Amino acid sequence: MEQLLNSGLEVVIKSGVLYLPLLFDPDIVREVQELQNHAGEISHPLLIQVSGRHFIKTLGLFSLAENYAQIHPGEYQRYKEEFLHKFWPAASDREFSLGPNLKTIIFQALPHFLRRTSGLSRKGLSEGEILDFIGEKIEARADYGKVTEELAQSLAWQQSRSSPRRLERWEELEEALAPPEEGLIAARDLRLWLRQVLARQIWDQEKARLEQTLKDQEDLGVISGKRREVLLYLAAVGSLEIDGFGFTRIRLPDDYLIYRRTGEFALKDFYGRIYLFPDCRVAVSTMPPLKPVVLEKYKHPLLQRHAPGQAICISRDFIPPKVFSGANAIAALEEGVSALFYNYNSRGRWGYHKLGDVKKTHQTVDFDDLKISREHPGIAAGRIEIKNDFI
Amino acid sequence: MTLFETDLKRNLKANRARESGKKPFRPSRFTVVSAIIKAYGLDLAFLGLLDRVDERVFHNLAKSAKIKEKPGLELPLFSLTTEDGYYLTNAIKEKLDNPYLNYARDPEELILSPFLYRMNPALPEEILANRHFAWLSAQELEKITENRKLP
Repeated sequence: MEQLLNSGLEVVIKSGVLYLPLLFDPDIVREVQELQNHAGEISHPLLIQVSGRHFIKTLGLFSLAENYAQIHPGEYQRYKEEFLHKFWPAASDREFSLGPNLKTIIFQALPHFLRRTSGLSRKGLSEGEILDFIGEKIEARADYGKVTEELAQSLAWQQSRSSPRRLERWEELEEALAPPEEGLIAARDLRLWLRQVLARQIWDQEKARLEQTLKDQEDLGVISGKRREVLLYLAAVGSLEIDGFGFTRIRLPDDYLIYRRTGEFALKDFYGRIYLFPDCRVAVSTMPPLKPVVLEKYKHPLLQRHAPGQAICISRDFIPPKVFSGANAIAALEEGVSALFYNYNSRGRWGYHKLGDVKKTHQTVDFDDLKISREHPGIAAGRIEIKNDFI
Repeated sequence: MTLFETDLKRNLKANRARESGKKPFRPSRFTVVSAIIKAYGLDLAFLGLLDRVDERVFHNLAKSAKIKEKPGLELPLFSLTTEDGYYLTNAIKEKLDNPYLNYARDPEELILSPFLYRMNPALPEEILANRHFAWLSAQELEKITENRKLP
């Protein structure tokens, strides 16, 4: 398209549709001649004659402009960068965006897993209290001071960038764009028009993004001082782990893995022998469906192989939620952890493997190396719980 | 059934089978000329040049390029051109009208094709497809010279 728009060709605009010069070969010439009446005129829905030249109907102009980003992503991106650079020569990647998923994780999922382990009361915690608690835990981190300082500067810079005055400048572009005049038009003039339409599209998107940023900053304004600093830090670093619960960003801007550590636990087989399972992280992603997986390379009767990132064989009653929310993430994580702890039944057929299977006919994973005696210090001291001791 | 009738029947069958069989695709003369015009950016000036080409120019071209290689020009299956391009292509095609045009791959071969065809209209397809017309023309001219020398 760029090649066409930069060429010296002339095109025709008629009823908002772009007509391009008809290309010829002997067959096409014959067909065109057949379409012509005695006066040499053509009446055809796709073909028109302007100044003795033939043009063929192609694309709707506005449709072309609207879908330009999909049709020519490379050109669109290049133009977008060029256009934005004109307005913001200092544009950099120091973007700040506090996504809704991060807020859900911090203010809904995290408190659920903190209650029992951190000695906090069971009453609901306010957002400020949650941030205070996280602040106490993360202050000691080596990079905390540096990151928060950088972020404060970045935010100040961004505020100046998206100030109302800056938005006013965008208003200059708000004027409605009329389609180009009907009739013959040079391809270069059409290019100018198309660029104006694209500029407006880019402006609309950028305006929406700026407004969201302003809103985020207003939210931060409500939370002040130290709490604001903590939230900024989490938004920038994108990962946190407290008391066996954590999250880590997997994709910008707002996709995360939320996980809970199982800690060491033990299971017993049909003959009462004990197997010690090491700590692992059971995780769900913010991208639905929320299916619990084990992040580490791990083996367990409810995991198919000895590999990382395996989905846990969970109860059929549990349907992985198709929407990400705090409650759904908590439910999926608890389902995953409880499956590892309690769903293995040495007498039943549930899961992929059996512990202590003497036949080992179809067994692809061997659990012998996990076997421990009842005198194991962890078991003896009651630190490591045998999760299926009720059978 | 006589022997003549058997032969006739066999011939008819063979001819029909040959006609209905697949034939290798060859780009049309229009496609060849149009591809050369596009590749070398030819315009109306080239058409004017064709008017001025005579035997003397042909001899000079043939002599100056005895070891010329056939240029590699990738031909499209079909050629579509603009309206102006179409009329230029047709004009060149009609002006040079000869079967060797199908094997031309550059403007020089376009110019030489009618002369070469006139000198030797029975050159094999493989030779035309692989040898430059200037080299072929030089060969033909040499043959004529040698024939003249013979008593």
